[in-house]
Amino acid sequence: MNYKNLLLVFALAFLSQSCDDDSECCPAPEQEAQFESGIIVLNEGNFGSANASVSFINSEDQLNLSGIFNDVNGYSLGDTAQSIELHENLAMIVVNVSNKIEIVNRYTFESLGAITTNLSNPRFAEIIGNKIYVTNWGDGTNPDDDFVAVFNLADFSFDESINVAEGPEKMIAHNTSIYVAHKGGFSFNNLISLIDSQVNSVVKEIEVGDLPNSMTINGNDLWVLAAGKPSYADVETAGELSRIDLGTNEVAESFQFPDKTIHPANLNLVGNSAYMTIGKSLYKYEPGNALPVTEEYSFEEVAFLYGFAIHENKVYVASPRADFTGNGNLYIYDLNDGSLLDQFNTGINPNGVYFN
Amino acid sequence: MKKLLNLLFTISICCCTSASAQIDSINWLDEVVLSDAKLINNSKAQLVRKLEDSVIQQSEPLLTSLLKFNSPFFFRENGYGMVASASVRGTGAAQTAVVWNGININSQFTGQTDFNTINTRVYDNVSVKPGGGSVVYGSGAIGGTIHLNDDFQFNGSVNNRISTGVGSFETIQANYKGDFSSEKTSLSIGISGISSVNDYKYTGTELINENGDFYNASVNASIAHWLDSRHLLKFYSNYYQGERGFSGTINLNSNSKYVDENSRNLLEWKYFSGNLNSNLKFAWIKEKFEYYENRESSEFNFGEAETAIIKYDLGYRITDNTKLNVIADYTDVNGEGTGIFHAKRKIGGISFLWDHNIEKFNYQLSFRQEITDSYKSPLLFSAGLSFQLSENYLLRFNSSRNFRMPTINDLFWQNGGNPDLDPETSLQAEIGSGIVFENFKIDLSAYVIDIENLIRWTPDATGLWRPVNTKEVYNYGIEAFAEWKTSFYGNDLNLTGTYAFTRSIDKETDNQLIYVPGNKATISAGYSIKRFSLNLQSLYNGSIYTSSDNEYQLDGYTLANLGVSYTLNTKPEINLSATIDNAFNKKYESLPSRIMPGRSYRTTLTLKF
Repeated sequence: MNYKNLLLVFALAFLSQSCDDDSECCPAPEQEAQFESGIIVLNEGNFGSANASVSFINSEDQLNLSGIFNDVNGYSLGDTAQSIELHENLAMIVVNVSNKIEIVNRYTFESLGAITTNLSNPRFAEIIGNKIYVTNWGDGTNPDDDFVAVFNLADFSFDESINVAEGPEKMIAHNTSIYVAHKGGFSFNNLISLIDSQVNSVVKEIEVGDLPNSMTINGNDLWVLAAGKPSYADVETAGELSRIDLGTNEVAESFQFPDKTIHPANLNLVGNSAYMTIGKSLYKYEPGNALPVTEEYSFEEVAFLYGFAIHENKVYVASPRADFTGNGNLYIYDLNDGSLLDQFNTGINPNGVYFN
Repeated sequence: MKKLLNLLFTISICCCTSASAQIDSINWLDEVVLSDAKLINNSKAQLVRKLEDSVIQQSEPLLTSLLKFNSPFFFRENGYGMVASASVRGTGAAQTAVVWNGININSQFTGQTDFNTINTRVYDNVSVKPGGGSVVYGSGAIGGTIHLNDDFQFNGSVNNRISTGVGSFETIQANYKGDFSSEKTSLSIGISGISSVNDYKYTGTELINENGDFYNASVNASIAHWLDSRHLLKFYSNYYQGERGFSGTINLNSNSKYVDENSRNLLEWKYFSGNLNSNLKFAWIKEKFEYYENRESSEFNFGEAETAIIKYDLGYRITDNTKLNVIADYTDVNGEGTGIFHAKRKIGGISFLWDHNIEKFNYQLSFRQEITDSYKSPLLFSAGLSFQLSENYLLRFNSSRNFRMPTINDLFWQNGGNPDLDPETSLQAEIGSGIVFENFKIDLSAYVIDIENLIRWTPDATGLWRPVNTKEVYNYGIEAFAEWKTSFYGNDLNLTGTYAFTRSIDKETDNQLIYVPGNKATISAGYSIKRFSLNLQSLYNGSIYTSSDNEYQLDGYTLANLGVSYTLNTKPEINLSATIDNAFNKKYESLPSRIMPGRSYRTTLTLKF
């Protein structure tokens, strides 16, 4: 045992020695950053276990690197990573349970700083101008302590916080406005609040379907997809798609799904078509037409559709293991016919797919 | 003359009846003395290991610590004094039944018993029985059963024991146990309490265990009284009350609080007549909890369940070597709580237990069928054979079908409860042998268990976590219990050890189930030198997987507790002891990010009179 350890120590010493030599004798030429081009998968890990991680995958080279944040920076990402906001050369990783935002260079994953104060149960980040906006649930059971925190993009310092309705989740920026979808924390909400970034206050609350979970902007329209209340709510409600006119900030039209058991998610715009998921199936919606009733196809390989993205005519689905322990998978499908193009192992409980 | 004859006749009748009454109860002595005679009489082909009183006294008072160091069973703990569950023979937390005086006391909500809510000092004895036992002990008796029993004596004895102790992290405990008996009446009372600030340091970090404070108090009383020579009444009562901060993990602070209260009452009326033994039982069990997400707030979630059981057991000794028991019972459960409205469950059951000795050979057959509206109930059975091949060697076989019913949460919880669940069922077989060489005893078992319809909470397509009958699993393994009483330099040395090799395999993936160590071993030693005694308790837990793909694991660990005690006075007996727990300050966790205490100290003063 000791002998083995000794050998290991020698081996390590030798390796580090030779590395030093290498760098001294022949400096590495300037090369493309390690994560210049590829797929970033955020793995939230297990609640309370601080095993969140980031995987980097390049499907052309069949490259799959796990735990890149930890490897590059030498410390753990934290507990329950919720989302990443990419902006210019920055990646802002919102780590929910750790109450922090780790900010890295998106191409090298080298840390540029962290925001660790004035956050409480943070969910998503969005950039407008030179400010970072972060939604926070506060105490999930308390409907009155939810807020959007505002930080300075230049030095990550805290500016102010804006009190908002319960359960602020995803945000989308448009000109100087920020639209915040309120899913409702531990309970249910049905609002989009509109924050004017010039005065940093809520100027309007717009009622949409129950549990708005995804938004996309098309021209002068904000499309909001709401899941509807789940079966265990007091009253189950059907999903609803709403179009908000960005000029008037009023709901111009809304479409409710025909059955209260239909709970859509993941609204994505590709060209002029909208895609959404219901369960593990993909549905296509052409604006102006009725809501889709038949699926395009189903993602059979997926245990649980947890992270979803459409990018360059491919569908990316991040799926945890069925019991939410152990490593998950990233499945890549052809958007047109749903055929499985590729699949990769990820870290624990992947919940988001992003692209460099 | 006629008067004299009459008198003689009367006397002879009296003698006869009193003689036969004596025989009646002698015939059924176990039924008189024990609270759960079936543990001995109907498990002849399985191992029942009673833990020595001295072992219980030198262990920490809560059941988790006692069994962790003195059985091959594995325990998952959220922290010292926090929620703890067992894995016996590689099974899950709800697949071990805790049985109080013959009555299954696993929670109706979770299907498990929190082993840190049981204070061992209030019971007369604690026994462990690895292997299935659903025919007699009902739901959850798949991996094994753990028995908390009260015994009765009718010999005029009076025994009192008072013990108090203090330890690290401001832990204070005290208990009293008193046994009193006359020829007709036997009374036993146990009272205990423990409290701790429990702010231990997470070994290897700068953090401390915050919000882990707890206290609990237990009272256990049992009384038996002969109404006449054939009628014996027994009454048992147990009450527990506890309050705990639920500590967070190393990454996650917690500010929650859990308050729970359990009461259990059991009335038994036994009647003995010749070869007949009739036993009527009424049990009434109540469990209640309140969970405060924020302990400063008055908002809480709660659950409350009441269980009433009526059971009639008729035993008949057909010959000296053959015995039949027929048992009919009815159980009524009513529960409610946050997200659970009027959960009701009614279960009727009938059982037959057959026991036959043929010289050195014994076989037992038993069957049980339950009828309930809540789930489909399988026919349960147990078949056992044992051969006493020689004084030194016992060989046994047992096969049984056991089950675990869906809990109230599984069936009735509004946020996902599934009323269509089937019970988990298991078919198992074991072979065991007990070997005795003078002062050395060893018992070895090998087993296989096939479990179907495992209930697992998994998210459905809409993201709602629901329980479904999903996995199929097979377990196999080896268990050993050894004991050696010897002397060393003229003083008594007692050594005991246990070992378990466990495989618990998901049939779909061939992976080991999470939180099941492949190896566990314990070694205890006690050495007495005059008024001093030294003792060691140690364990090894092998590594456990924390993910079903077996990609992540927690390291194994070895722990040792060292203790010394000194008898200051023998009549009354006064004893002072000091123990170093986790003497080598090993950093260990049985659940991820939940670090257990490092080195700590406790002292105990015990008075017996």
